[in-house]
Amino acid sequence: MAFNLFKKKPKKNKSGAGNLPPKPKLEPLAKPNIPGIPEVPNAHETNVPGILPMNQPISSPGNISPPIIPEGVAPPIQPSMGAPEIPPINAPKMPPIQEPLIKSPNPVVPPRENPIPPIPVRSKQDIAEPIAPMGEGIAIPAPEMDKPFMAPLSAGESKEFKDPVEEELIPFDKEEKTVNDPFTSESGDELPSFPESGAVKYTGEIPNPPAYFSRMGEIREEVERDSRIHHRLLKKPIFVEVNDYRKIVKEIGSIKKDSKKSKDVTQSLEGLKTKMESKLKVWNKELEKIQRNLVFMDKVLFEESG
Amino acid sequence: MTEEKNAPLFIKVENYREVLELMRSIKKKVIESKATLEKIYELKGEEDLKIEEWDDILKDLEKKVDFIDEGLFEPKV
Repeated sequence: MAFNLFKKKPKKNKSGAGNLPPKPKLEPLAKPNIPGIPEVPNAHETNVPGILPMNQPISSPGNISPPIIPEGVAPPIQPSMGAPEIPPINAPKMPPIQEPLIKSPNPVVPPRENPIPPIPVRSKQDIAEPIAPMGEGIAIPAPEMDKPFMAPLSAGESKEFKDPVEEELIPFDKEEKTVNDPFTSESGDELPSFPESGAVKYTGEIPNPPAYFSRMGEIREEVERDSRIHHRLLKKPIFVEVNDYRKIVKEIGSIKKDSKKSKDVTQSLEGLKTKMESKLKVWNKELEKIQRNLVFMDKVLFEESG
Repeated sequence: MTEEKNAPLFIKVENYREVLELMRSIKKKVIESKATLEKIYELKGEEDLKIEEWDDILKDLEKKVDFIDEGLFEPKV
């Protein structure tokens, strides 16, 4: 508790918290009696001519005459005079404002009498005749649209139309006969016969098949059997014994390890190759240096002496 | 209990066909890698031969340099 040793404990006010101590009475300062220094007179008690005492209201002397104001100019407003009377302004009377007529946003438009002009009716004589096609002078009159175009019938003639859906079905045999067959037609036009070629002559004997043809059935059966086995193997679920499965998993793990090892070996081989290449480069440079030195030696020994 | 213990256990293998295909491809890769290894061996043999040749050349060069050195700096009086 060393840090509390120098701490001053605040004195508690026994009278009560929040009460201020009583104000000390201030005594007036005594005038010092210093010899040689004159007393400074009070501002109110000054008797110096020409100097107005301080803190005294300035009053206008009574003998000052008021300023002369020229005619036509209003006298200045003084506080003693009070508010001057403002003469009434004779404003000109405005004529009464008439309220404008508010027009509606959609003004009522008076209906027009027959806004669309009537189409002038042309007489048949006014319409120009259609241009006749080349070489034909007579224009073909167009049929009226209301009635279907009917071929004119002579007097007493009548025409019956059959139902278009019900068609006469011709049997197949009969239809075949109706087809214009050039070979069967009795038109009299005969096609020329093919020329006889001596290359292939049909003798009526069929050549014997090759030897493996006799075993084709067996071969086919074997192939089908194999495919069936494969199909069965692939379609049905396959089960592997647990011990075999474990062996397989083990082998796969060892294969993985081997592949990793081989990868490392190839990487080390690549490193060796790069090292060898760098060494070869260095050796090549050294060889070049040796060659230059040899040339220099050759010059020194044989050319200069000669 | 003994029969149950001795009974073989099987594990269903799915995607058997794909596994077979993978095995085939692995076999192919092994064969290919064998062939490349053989080629590398051949190249290595050639390299060894070249290195031997280089070694012979170096030996000859050393002999010649020694001869020149003897002839130039240790002249016979």
